[in-house]
Amino acid sequence: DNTVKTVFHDPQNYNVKHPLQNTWTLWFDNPGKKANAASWSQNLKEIVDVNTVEDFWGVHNNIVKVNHLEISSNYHVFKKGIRPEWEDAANANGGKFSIQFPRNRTGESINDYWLNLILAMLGEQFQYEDEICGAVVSVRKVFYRVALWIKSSEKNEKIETIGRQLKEFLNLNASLTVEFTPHGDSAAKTSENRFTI
Amino acid sequence: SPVSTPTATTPKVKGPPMKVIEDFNSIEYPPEFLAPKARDPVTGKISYDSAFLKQFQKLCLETDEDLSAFQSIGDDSQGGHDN
Repeated sequence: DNTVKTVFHDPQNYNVKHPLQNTWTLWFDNPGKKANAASWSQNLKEIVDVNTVEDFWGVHNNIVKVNHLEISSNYHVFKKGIRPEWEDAANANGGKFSIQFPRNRTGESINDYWLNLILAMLGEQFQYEDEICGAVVSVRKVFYRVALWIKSSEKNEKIETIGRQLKEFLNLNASLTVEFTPHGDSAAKTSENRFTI
Repeated sequence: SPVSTPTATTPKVKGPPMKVIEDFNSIEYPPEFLAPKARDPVTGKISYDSAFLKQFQKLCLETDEDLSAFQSIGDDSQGGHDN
């Protein structure tokens, strides 16, 4: 039987998958309280690469949901070849958009925010998709944080478009702001390259 | 009884990678599903919108990846306090 069957035709015996434009790597880490730079890097574990829609869902449906992760854990989904660290060449001059969600008022919806961000990335929905490096979700005691890492950090039309699209794809409540921070900029709180959308 | 008991520790066996769709136009999607726009005719870039991607959520429940090392990372104590 040579008929091409997708998962929509036959969920049990399909014979062709939907390719993604990029291969993506899922990473996990939980550095705990004793974190320092060295232990963080050792803690960071590659879980799996996915390059089809079917494989992504197979993995997503079988890993712990964000709202059930331990405090101080992070999931990272990055283009294959980019480590989710500032030091990686792709991130070195970049920055991140981040959104903080109060934990008590967010609950399970963090799973949907995170999923919507991953789907927008894997589906290449961002207008300047070459700018995208990956995304991180962080579980902390009183908040969740979702961040989108991009290659550059100069405020311009490109970056602002990505920020606006991020807000749109996550369907954010108007009271939440998206903040852009260049990597390695935590000391300079007044940096001209920080902004909110 | 000769019936074997399923074990939770059966190692995942990864088969050879399945073929991927090359020509999206050759596929007729069942009418009850959204079809993808998929490949950009000019750049060849593959994109999918979220509504299309979410249709796989209930269909792709299994994985042949060994995720056992990452399935115990949850915080069980939190289970009853989601709301």
